[in-house]
Amino acid sequence: MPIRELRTDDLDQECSKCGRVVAVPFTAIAAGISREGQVNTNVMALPACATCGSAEFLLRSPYDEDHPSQGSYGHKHKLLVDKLHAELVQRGRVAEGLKPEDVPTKEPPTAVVDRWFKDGLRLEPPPKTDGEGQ
Amino acid sequence: MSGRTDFFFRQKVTEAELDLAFELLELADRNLAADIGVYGIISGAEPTPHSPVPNLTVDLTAPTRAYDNLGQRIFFGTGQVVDCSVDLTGIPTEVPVAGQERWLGLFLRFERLLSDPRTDGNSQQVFFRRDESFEVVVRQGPLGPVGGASKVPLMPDELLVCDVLRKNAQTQILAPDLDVSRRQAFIFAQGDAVQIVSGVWSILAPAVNTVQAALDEVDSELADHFGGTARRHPAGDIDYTPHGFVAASDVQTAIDEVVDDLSATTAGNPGAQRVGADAVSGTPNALAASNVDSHLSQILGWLNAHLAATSGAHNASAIAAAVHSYIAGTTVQAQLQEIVSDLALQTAGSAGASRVGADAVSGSPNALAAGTVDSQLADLLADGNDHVGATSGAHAASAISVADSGGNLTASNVETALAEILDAFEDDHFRGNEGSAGQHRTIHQPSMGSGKVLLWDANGVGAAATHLRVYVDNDSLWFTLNASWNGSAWARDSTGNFCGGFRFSRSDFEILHEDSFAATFTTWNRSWRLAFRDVPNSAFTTNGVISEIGRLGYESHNTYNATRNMAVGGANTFRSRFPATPSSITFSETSSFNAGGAPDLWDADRDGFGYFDYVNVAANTTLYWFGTYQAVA
Repeated sequence: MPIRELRTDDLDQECSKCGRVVAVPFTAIAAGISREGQVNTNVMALPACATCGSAEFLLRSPYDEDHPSQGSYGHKHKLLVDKLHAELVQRGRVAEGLKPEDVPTKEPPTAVVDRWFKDGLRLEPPPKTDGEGQ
Repeated sequence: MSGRTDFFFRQKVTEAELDLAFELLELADRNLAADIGVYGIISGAEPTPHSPVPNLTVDLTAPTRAYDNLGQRIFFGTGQVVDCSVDLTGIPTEVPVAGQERWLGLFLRFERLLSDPRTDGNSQQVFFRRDESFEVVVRQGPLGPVGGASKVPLMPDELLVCDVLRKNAQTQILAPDLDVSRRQAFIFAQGDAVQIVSGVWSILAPAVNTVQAALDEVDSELADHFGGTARRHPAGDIDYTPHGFVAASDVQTAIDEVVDDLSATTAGNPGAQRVGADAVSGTPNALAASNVDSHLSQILGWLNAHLAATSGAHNASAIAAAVHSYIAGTTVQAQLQEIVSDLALQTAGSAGASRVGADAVSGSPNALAAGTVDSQLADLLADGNDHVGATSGAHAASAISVADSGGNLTASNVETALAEILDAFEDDHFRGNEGSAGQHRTIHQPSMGSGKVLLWDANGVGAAATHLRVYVDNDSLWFTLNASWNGSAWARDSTGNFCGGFRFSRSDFEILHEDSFAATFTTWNRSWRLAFRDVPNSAFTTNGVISEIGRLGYESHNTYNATRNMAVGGANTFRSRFPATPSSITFSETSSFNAGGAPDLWDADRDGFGYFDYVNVAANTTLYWFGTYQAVA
């Protein structure tokens, strides 16, 4: 459950392994990875978890792919990842050796974001326990 | 004229002679006034409470002119303030006892004012001037009870200005305390001393021709007229101003008209219509303000309606009734209540039914003898109990009809109805006279509609969360827990619990889960579908929040004799096919050696991902990294 909330200059990340929630500033991450000439512009590597050392990668969605369950948790998380990826590129936060114009983005339309995030770019995790409802 | 003195030549005039001459002259003047009868207060001397602040003095206005009974002139030119707290002798006039009062009399009295003193021949002092003057005299009457004190008598040589009322604890004399009803106002002459000429008068005939006799005659005539003993006006001579329905202009005609109009019996214009009547309250009827004719009509209408009433004419309690048999009440209401109470009695031996007679009723096998309802009920109960208590042969089932108000049977009696029910029962069940009685045979269900048709509904332990239902539609068979189909959506039995289920058809199998806790939903938000003929058909295609944890890793060895930068990596396939490319994949290390941390992600899609790393490895050195991945889509 990586992104809990996306704010102006940082995001809340929940570690999938240990559940630790940390605020990650945009200045600590970049769009794309580039290693020894092997470049992947769709991926954003988050800092390793200080508790368990896990390394999380966020993946911008492919252009030709629409999520089959609109409004689901997976769909909303994908919108947050796509918006974060576009935000980093707009701010010039791209991996070393890349230029912003070399990193294609898929920023979701404002109307789509407004429809699924009426209370802000916040994503509560789905219920984990049966019987939690009213 | 007066008496005279005739002084003569060389007369030596004495004082007494000169005084006599003046006295004769003065006497003539006063005799003239006394003879004519002139006396009284001509003007002035009007009493008022003292101003500006009333006290126990009285103010008299000026100038004042008056003549007493002796013809002596009384005059004063300035206003006088008369002290009423004491009388002329200096005795206080106060009223010391509560509940008593006293009248004072304020009188004017003639007085001489002596002045210009001189010494006569005898060396005696005399006053040369003896001017006319006055004196205000206060006299007090005796104490008396409030309203009963007597006033001061009139004085023959004084003139009463007014009476003054003194009261207990009085500190001010106010206007109501001043009484001028006995004031001796000016009288010019006596009426019987004045002559009149009555020869041409037509009504008055005084006994003598004086003013007094004429006025006495006028008074007598007026007394007769006002007393009605004589000199009365004919009614026709008295004017009358037309008013209301009376058009006449004199009293006689007006009275005649009133009598005629009031006695009129003309329909629509009777005399009663001219007599007003005020509003009269009452229940149930009331009269609004109108006239007697209108009221009479209304009352007659109500009376006739009452007499013709077929119901509700009177309260039964207002109608007398004679005592009869065991009914002791004296009004219809009381007797009816008594009858009702007696009929409702349940007391053994005197129950209401024992008051009602019943004739004999023939019948077979039972008959009823003449008696009362009570006795016949007892007989019927005994007969009924005998029938109900019958242990066999009471009735043939074919003789007992069925009402079948619900229209569920073809049969019309118990015998054929039982046969009809068992015929239907034995199609899917073993009969009671067979082995495994009551248990199901093969369950047959015909077409029961369209859409999602409920085949089975079981709530085995009574928990909403595990309420099981089985539906079928054109494509699939659905098994659900905590979810029912309401025609357009799935509805939770318990909104506090997840919903679960599975569906299979001829082409796929799908496991279903819904965790939103919404009361209704149309899409299961998590599913795992295995399509029998899709590509791939080796794994479930997932939908909704899917989280997978798996293993990945690499190991390699630098066989070269110097450090080398080595590229390492691999690929991994998800157990199930994700609904879309994951948006998050996390690598967690379980073990490593010489590795620089978790590898990087590469080339991910809904079926899996690759991973790689570049590591500087010393000569003849092994490196490895093993861990787990967790993907979210």
